[in-house]
Amino acid sequence: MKLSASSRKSIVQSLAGKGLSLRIGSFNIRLRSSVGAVADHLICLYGAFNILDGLDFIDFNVAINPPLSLRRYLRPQVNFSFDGYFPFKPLPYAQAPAFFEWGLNWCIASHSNQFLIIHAAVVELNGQAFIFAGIPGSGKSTLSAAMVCRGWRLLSDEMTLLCLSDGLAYPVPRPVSLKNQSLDIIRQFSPDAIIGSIVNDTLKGTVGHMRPPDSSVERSATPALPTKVIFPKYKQGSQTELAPLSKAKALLKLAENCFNYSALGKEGFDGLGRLCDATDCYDFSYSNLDEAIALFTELAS
Amino acid sequence: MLKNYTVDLPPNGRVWFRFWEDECVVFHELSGQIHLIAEMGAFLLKLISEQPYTRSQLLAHFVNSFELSIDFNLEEFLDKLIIEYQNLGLLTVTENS
Repeated sequence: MKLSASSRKSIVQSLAGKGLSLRIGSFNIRLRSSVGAVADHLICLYGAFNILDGLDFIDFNVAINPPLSLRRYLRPQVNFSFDGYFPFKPLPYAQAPAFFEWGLNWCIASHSNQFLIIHAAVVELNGQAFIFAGIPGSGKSTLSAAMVCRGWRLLSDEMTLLCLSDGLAYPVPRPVSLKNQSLDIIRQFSPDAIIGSIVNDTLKGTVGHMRPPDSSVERSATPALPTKVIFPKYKQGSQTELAPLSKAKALLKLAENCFNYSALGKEGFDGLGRLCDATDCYDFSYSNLDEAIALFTELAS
Repeated sequence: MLKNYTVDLPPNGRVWFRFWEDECVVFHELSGQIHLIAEMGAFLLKLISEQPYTRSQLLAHFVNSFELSIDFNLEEFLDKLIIEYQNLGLLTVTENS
């Protein structure tokens, strides 16, 4: 059953009780929370995800709740817990929905060594997955958000899960994290995009999340073959420019953007090598989303 | 620097290469470091990734494969390169008797 088929009351009750279990890409998660904004976040952005019954194996048991102290009354905060463990310091209460997203990122990135995990967005069209890798601020989330608004399938805006045995990218099509001016850019680019609550004054600035397309969520079980590795750089006023990058330089840059490269050792090195062998690699600078999407759509045709 | 030596991969065998055209990426498994190496350095590593070479054999390969200017001191260049890579743990140098 999809989450959108549940009432708010039932979602709130599940979250406050035994937890709400969701299938997200390759993972089963169970979330507990007494925070109403977390329920609203799920209702707004996770409507197309399937709710699991109580019998499924759960990969990540997480919770977003206020600490049991007087702090809950004075400048209230929330904690993120994973299997009863608190990996982070508490954050302001208003940041609870974003904390869930960041905490789940951490869970996946830290505990999924069956994949080589690259800090990269990945989107797919015509069976071709394009990987957009880069440091925060490079524009990969904005670009991938705009691309999925124009019909590309979202596999992830945050982490590429590359299977070491088959070389395919596995989807985790969660809400797209947009920061600061990216929020206005996407609102103007696609007025129909559904963006959840906006959180100000986080460590990353102003943050909001865009709902993934239902069609991407419905294809969560279908991996895609990477054909392009692209290192985007958004620069205001710059021309749209796609410059070939040598496979050796691409491998080095990918390694710098891997979450678990050192944990996987030679296996990770071989995985990156095979990825570079199988793809065309580019540096990409842009400022115009329409031009960028037209270029990539042409490349994927 | 020795003048009569053989260059080989480290004995622990935990150095891994990927070669593309005139570049290579080397992964040193023990340190977890990754190195991007181009042109003559990549050429050197490509050779020794296949078999051990003596200094004189390496010099001959370089002379046959690159157009070197008259004032380029190949011997000094090669010795320095090998010391640098030895310090990074990418190869070993054994003195020939």
